[in-house]
Amino acid sequence: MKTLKQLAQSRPSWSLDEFVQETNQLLPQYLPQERSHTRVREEVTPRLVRHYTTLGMLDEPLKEGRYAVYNYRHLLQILVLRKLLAEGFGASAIDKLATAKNNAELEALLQGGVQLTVTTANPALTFLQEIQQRQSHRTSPPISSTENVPPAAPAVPNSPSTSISSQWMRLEILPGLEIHVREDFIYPSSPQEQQNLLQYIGQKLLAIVTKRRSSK
Amino acid sequence: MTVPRIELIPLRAAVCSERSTTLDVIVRIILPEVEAKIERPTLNIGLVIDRSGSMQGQKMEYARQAACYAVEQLLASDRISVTIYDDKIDTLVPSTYATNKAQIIRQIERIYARNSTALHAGWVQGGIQVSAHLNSEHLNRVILLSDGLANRGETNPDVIASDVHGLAKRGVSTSTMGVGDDYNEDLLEAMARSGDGNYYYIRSPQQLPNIFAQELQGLMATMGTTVTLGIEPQAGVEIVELFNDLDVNPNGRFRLPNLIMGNPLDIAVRLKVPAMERETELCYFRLAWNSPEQQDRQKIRETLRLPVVSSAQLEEFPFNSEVRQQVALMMTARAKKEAVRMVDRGDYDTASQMLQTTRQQLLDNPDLSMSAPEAEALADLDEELKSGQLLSYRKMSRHQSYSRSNLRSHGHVSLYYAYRKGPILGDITQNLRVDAIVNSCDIYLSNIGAISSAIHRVAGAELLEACRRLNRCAEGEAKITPGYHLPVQWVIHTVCPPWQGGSHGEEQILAKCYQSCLELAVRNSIRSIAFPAIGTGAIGFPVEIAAKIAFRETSRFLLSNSSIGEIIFVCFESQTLDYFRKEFWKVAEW
Repeated sequence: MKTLKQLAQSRPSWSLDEFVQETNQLLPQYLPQERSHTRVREEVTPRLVRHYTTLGMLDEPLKEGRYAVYNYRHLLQILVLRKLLAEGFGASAIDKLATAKNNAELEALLQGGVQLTVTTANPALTFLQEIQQRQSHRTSPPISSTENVPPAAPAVPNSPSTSISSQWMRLEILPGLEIHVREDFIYPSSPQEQQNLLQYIGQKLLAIVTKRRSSK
Repeated sequence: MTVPRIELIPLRAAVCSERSTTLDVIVRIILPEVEAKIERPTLNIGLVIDRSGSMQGQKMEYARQAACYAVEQLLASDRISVTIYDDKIDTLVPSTYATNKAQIIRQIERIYARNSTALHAGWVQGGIQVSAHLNSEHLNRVILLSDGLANRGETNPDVIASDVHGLAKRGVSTSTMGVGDDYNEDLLEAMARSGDGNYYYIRSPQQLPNIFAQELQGLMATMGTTVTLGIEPQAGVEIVELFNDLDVNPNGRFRLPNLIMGNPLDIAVRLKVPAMERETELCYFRLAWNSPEQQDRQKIRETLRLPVVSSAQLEEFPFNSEVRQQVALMMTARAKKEAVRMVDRGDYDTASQMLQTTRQQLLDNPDLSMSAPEAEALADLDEELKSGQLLSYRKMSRHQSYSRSNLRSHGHVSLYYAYRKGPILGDITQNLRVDAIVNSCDIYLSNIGAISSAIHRVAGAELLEACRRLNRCAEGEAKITPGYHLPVQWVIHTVCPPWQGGSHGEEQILAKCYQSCLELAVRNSIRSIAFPAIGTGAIGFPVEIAAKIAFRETSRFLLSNSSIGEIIFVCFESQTLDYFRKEFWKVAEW
């Protein structure tokens, strides 16, 4: 199995069937491991690809004579699409996202370099939920009333559990190496993203070590 | 015209080649008139209503009425939600299409007053209801109504205003309405300013439904939001000051109120122009806004360019009276704000003096049409202050300054003063301190009829002779004559047709009577005018209809025009007066 980078350089062009096969091979490493929607775990089929295209969620295939041809960009699109569906985003929330982003952005989405949140879909709602969270951390003054009045309500019923954004956890990895984790940090769910994160940590560490050596 | 236009009006239409000049300029943003045909943008509204204990009684009753009114105005494609708050937040009506209005209204009618005021949390919840259906092609707005101090949850005004601003940047604006004298006007004004919405001071709760009507009509006629004006002086020109009290965004642009059809905006700026060798571009003005219909930010630019003349020649150029007036209005607003600051420091006498001095400065310029109503407003403020009504004084004053820098930058800041505090009972031939009175007569311009005979009796035979020479006047039109022995300079004669049941276009012709009279008044530089209750009496219009048309036509004129300072209605019968006063109160706080 080739990596995305290798695929990009080879400038592939697939028939629909080949495209579906390639997608199904690559897909597992980008999907979250647990609690994903079972339906989305299913394999991609030619019919599904055509369905996504009709909905405008994928670019139209290219044409070579009478045959539909798919390329690297289509692959990125469908991987992103399936990944987001598996993570629980609704089709209407994703909408034209995959067709609107360029290849680099799609790659970033797959590699976990970009965290896709509701922010892109509805900045106003996210903003207000952040305010609610902030407010719920403050202790509200006691009510001087004999009535049993519930406290100023956090209005969204399932608002995320209380977490003080400035609270950090220390993890000792080895003697001399600690990692500080903020409570709201989300560990990536797909193997590919986890790989990328570890690689990124490695790079950072390496940079420090090299610098230290050269300064000696 | 479907887009705004910028018009630049300089105090003098030239600059000097020998010395530097100070040049006041009005940047007028002209917006198309409201047309019934134009499809309005879809609304997504969240009403947030205070139901803390202090709202009990009349206030709650009118708040309910206002909310019901709002619901009735909506189309089935609009969205509405109703959130009520005291110390606890309830989403009474979660955001829904305005399809089942009767049910929504039943819900609203059940609201009653309770505990303390969690204003911020209420706003957040209302915002969530609107945001959940955020659509950049719609107008998304939270309308918050309160009569009290935020005393639960987040109460820091800076934090609240910054939250409101954050939400506005993400596409949901906020308007605020303060009822009575016990709310925090600084907070509600700051919220509206940072929320890209409007702030209203509602002195008497009866005004609530009317203010809601104003807010909704404005919302329906909105063609631009997050509006900014960039002023870029060229060729060594400097900005000395901007007279409007506007916030500046991080890019150095001034934040303007929403662009609303039929509501021109005037921004007055003082420039310092160095001695110029030749005619060149002096300053760029860039207007930018978001339109519900367009994806991209809309922009237009206008350039100030004036001929260069010698110092002696420059003296020949007259001062533009509109610019003089606008600067005077802005200085008045500033003085009101300054007086409030003095009162806050406990310096009541100095504040009162400041109001009186400013009033005198206005009265010293009687040629400016707005002098009279503005001076009257200042007199009222002074009286409120002297009688120790500090809470209402402060709110009245702050709200007037606020309006002057916002949607009411141009012309009348309040129609209450434009109508000289309302219709009066009496004889139109008495001394009313106006430039012109209107005569309602027949097409022969005869002296027959209640109003006409009274006017002719006082004016004398010369008036009848002058009318004869005018040789008739068509229905809906108007003609002008001198006042002769009347205590006014001018008489405008207009012809209203008899009422024949309403199906013969009578209402349109009566509306045209008012339009014709006002046009004629403007052409003759008339600054104040008295109308009788045209159409009532023997002509037979139902008084209710006559009163509605009178205030619809004149208020529309007053809101888009500042060349007439005062319009006074003089009713002959007390029953007529009741109807006219009722219509007056509907627009008085606009």
